[in-house]
Amino acid sequence: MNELYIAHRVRQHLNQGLNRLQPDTVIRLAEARQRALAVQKQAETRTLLATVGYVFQHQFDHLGYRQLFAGTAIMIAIACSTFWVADQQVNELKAIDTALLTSELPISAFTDKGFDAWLKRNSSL
Amino acid sequence: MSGRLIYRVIHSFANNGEHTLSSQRELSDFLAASERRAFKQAMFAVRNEETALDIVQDSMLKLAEKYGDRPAEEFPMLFQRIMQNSIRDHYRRSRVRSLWTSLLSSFSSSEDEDHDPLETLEVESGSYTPNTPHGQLLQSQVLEIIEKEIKILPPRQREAFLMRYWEDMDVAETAAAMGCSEGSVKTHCSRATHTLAVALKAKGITL
Repeated sequence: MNELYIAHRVRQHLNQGLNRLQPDTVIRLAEARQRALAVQKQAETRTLLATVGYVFQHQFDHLGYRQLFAGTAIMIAIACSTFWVADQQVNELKAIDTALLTSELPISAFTDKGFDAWLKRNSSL
Repeated sequence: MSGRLIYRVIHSFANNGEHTLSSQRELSDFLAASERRAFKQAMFAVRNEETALDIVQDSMLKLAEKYGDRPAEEFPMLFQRIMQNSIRDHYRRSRVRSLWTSLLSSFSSSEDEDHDPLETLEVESGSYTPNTPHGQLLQSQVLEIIEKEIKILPPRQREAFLMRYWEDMDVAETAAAMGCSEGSVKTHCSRATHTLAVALKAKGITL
């Protein structure tokens, strides 16, 4: 007799035994099942937007007015500094453009690599 | 406030409830199909009906509460793992309790174990599905002996044998539930089957 055959026969006997449980036991098992189902953890299928809403709910609802004010102030400061830096860059570009346009040399002279190398060599002497 | 509102509105559209219902039905079907076997398994291990019922109930609750959202294919392995842990916890607690209580409790079940149904048992080969009252009596006596032999198997062998051959779990699932290697599961199963076969043969039972 091999292992599987013995296991199969034992299983058959054990399965027969399941029908001989006391009715009271069967009822209690069914009640336990119902209690378990009542507290079942439910799967949540979340879309991207729902996730964003979830993050908002859990991250921002608990914040007070002070934190919101501080956050807003930081955002305004970042926006102002970005605007100021951009303005500076525009002014620099404007100065370069003006210098180019008012120069006696043609614009093609500034883009010529040979001319640029000649200027560097002369300035270093 | 607005975050909660956004979440609820979008979530209510995203979840139409189908997934929840399906999952609950799957868990319900699984528990209904396995609760009796689970109870018997617990009985083999703890040999007390009330304790066995408590273990099964706690295991069902833990499975539903913590893993109720898992795929149905994982339920058998998870349930077995939870139940074996609960049985082990029971053993540990009993061991601690026994240090503080009387040693007499360890002899309480000796009367039941002294009863040997083999004294009046005649097993007929090939009479597995009895239609007569006599046949049914014989079958119940065989079952009693098989259950008794399963009870006295070493715990790990019993766990492996029941999971593999009664719960229909494969070697990998059994190994995951028992927290051991697949090789160990095969060894436990082989030894358990051999022990059962020898014990039943010694009592004149031919399966």
